[in-house]
Amino acid sequence: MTTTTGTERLYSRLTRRETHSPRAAVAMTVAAIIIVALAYLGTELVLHLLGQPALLLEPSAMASTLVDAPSFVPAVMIGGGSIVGIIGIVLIIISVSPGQRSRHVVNSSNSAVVVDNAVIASALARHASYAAGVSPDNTVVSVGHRTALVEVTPASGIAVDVAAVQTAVTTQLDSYSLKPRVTAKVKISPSGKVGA
Amino acid sequence: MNSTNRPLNRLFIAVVGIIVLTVGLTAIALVTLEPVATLWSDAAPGVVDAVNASVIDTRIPNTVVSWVAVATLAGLLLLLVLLAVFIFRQGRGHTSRLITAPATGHGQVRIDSAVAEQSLSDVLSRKAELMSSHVTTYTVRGTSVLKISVTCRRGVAPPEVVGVVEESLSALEDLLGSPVPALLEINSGFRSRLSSATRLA
Repeated sequence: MTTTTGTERLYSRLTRRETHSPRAAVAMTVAAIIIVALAYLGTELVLHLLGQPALLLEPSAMASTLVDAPSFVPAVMIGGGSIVGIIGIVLIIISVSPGQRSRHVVNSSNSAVVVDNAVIASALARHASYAAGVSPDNTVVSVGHRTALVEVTPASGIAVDVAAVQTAVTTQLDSYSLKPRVTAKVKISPSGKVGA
Repeated sequence: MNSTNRPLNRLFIAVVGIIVLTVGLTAIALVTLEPVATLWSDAAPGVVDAVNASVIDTRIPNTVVSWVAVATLAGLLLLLVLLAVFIFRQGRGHTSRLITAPATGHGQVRIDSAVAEQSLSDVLSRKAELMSSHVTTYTVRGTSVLKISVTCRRGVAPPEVVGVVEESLSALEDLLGSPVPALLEINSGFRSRLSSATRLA
């Protein structure tokens, strides 16, 4: 911790973890479903051992149902199998995809900083609206991983200086020192709005 | 920030996903592919018979209870406990101790996280750029790290927030006489969208 590299390593670990999903919600949900299923199987097994009637199916009935599987209605098996298979594929995709959160890292030497894309968008909207001379409510900004789209709706009859907006937004983005870098695209709505 | 074992989460989801996918594909194959259905019909009764035989063979003397059933039950229970532990291990890593100075002949200095958390929250609550702040402390690789989570007012640029928070943080470091590693999380949140734009330049 006392060395610079130690702090840098710590900060890069923190920012990496804060900009990616821990996949905790999915893992906990899946674990909870398996717990319920195991608890049910255990209950049936205990009831069977105690000689009590089963809740739904005796363990032996479960086994014979599995044995008879090929004789089930094909449409039901194909439909059910497809749904189960798709759930499996989705889980596999969730497990290997990066799980990028809509956040950016701000380069700073004194602390690890992550900023929500909505904060960046809101700040860009303010500066774009000043440059364009319209109300902030008529400036819509959406910030992605590497791009920011600035859409300005001008007041009817008043031209907006695209270059000025582009310069303002780019200057702002450069001063934020975001990682990864974000480049802005400015779009002026072709039709104005009264009182914008 | 917390000590959640992320690779384990992903591994767990992947393993369950592969099992679920296999079950789904098997279900489809059983009614569409003739060889698979034949193979299943040939093998499955034998497997069930073998299990039944082992259940009868391993009966505990003078009872109808089999060791196999008891072992299966124990296995289910073990798996259940492991899954419960897995769930409760998520999102941990809070600590109440911020700094533990090396002991000297005169004693030792320990500083609680609450000192930093409360003083930072107090300072940040008076900043015009911020709507709210929440400070917690986590242990990351043996180091206590402050997590400063702030919600800023509409239209405030990130560098302004970073400046305000780091200024407060360095004041705290001067006060404590020790560097305090920190993570700053700048959020927007629903309230900030409704709030009036800041008057700051």
